[in-house]
Amino acid sequence: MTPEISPYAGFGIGLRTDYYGDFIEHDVPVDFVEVISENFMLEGGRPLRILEQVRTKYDVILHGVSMSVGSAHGIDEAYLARLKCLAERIDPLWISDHLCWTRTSAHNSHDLLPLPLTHEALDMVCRNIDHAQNILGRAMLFENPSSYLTFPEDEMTEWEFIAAMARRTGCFLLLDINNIYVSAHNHGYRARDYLAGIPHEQVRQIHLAGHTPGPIIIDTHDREVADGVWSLYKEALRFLGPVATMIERDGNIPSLTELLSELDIARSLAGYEALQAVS
Amino acid sequence: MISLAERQYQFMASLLAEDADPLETSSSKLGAGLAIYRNNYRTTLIEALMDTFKRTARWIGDDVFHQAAAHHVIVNPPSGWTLDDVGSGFDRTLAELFAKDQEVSELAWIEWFMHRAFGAANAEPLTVLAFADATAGFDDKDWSTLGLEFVPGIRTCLVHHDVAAIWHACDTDDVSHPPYALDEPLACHVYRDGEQPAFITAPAFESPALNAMVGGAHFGDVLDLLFKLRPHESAVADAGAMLGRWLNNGFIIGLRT
Repeated sequence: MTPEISPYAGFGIGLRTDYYGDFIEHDVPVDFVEVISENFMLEGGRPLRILEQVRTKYDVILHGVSMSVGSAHGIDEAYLARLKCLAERIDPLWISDHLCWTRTSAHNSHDLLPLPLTHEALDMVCRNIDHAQNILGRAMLFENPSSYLTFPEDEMTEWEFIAAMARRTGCFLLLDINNIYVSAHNHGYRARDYLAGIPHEQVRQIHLAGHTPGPIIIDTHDREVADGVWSLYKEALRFLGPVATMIERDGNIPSLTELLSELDIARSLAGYEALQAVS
Repeated sequence: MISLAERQYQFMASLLAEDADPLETSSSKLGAGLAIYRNNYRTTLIEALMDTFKRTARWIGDDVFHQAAAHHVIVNPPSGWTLDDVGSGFDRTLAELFAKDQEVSELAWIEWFMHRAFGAANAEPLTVLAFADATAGFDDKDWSTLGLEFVPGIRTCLVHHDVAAIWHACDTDDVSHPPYALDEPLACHVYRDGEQPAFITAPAFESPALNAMVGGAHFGDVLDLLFKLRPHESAVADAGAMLGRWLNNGFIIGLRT
């Protein structure tokens, strides 16, 4: 049985190299930072030293992109061992990764690839999550993906898949509001149905990010959060109540001041929704 | 119904294929989505190479670099969990593509191993003073059987071009190509100086000597190598100067006696 992850309702951003100096030299008004685990799964050197310094002042979340829990070939044991080492070194708030696959037995795409939503895939994902949580000795969070295609063999909706995954493995959820927005547009379902269909009590974190509009919306994380995503965030807060929220930015990295201003919008919306809930 | 393993195998094959998948070129929604993943895959890998080999890209130009990078990822699709590994062997790919411009692969070799040194394990180099203390009572036999432990991530090779000048030219965006070829090859050592990856050039004999000692050879084996190349006294002096350079650059972290 994997341990419980307590609810936590802070606000944070992704720690990117451009911000290292700010976080080391100043007090940045965030409750936590999220880092890409793989960037720190090293033997030594500057990145690890910086992360350890940041950790003395802020809660840190390890967010991975390479666990590949959807892989029919299982999880790379060497990867898990490295991640466990990093977790022991950093003592993160929690560890998260994505509901996706990235590798076969022979090759790695280094992209978050979509899973067919089948019972076979669900069984495989649950086996892999159980294994990862056992090795790491803790429950994990898994993020709903954005996707650009669906498969003819799909047997359930993504929210049904995620609900079953959380129920069977005890894992928690990292709800990416932008991903819901992107996939709902790309696949023609209602984002509200998604929000209503996931197990709310399992959500421990929210991601907000920007996307590139078009006939197929692309999840690019290279611009400000879109208005439609803010609206969906407000709706999600009505389902979820206070929950850890962060803004993900991976391209066209803005100044820290700009990103923190965007995070303030999330704070304001969360504060407003909390007031509405008690009034 | 198609199995998960078969679906993933087919999907991966579509990503790795040099030409667009037939499914992708059709008008189906599945094909349109697949084209996005295929583009993401290529872009991610090429950007990773561009990030690791910034100076090589500047040297040959972004467009040519992009083509070489695309060729590399087609011929060497990644298999490891870390995106960092995508650059493995890129210097060899460039050596084939730029057979007449060997400085391109030499520059890429340096960038690759500096990238590796960046995340190598931490270790405290031995000071000259500590080394002198540890070897103060050495007799000839002790020197002959002396082994050395080196900082993690250290690598060496022979270069046939003035890579330091090329590196500087790339930094200053002065990538006109005067004759950088050397009359005699030099050793090029890549290591990490504190947290900063670095490289230095040195007399050519240092490259086989460093490789041998990193691989566990004794100082006496290195002297034997030098005795074959030059007179006895000169060889001893060169070996001493080499040890001094290695210590001063922080290559050595311990002795094995």
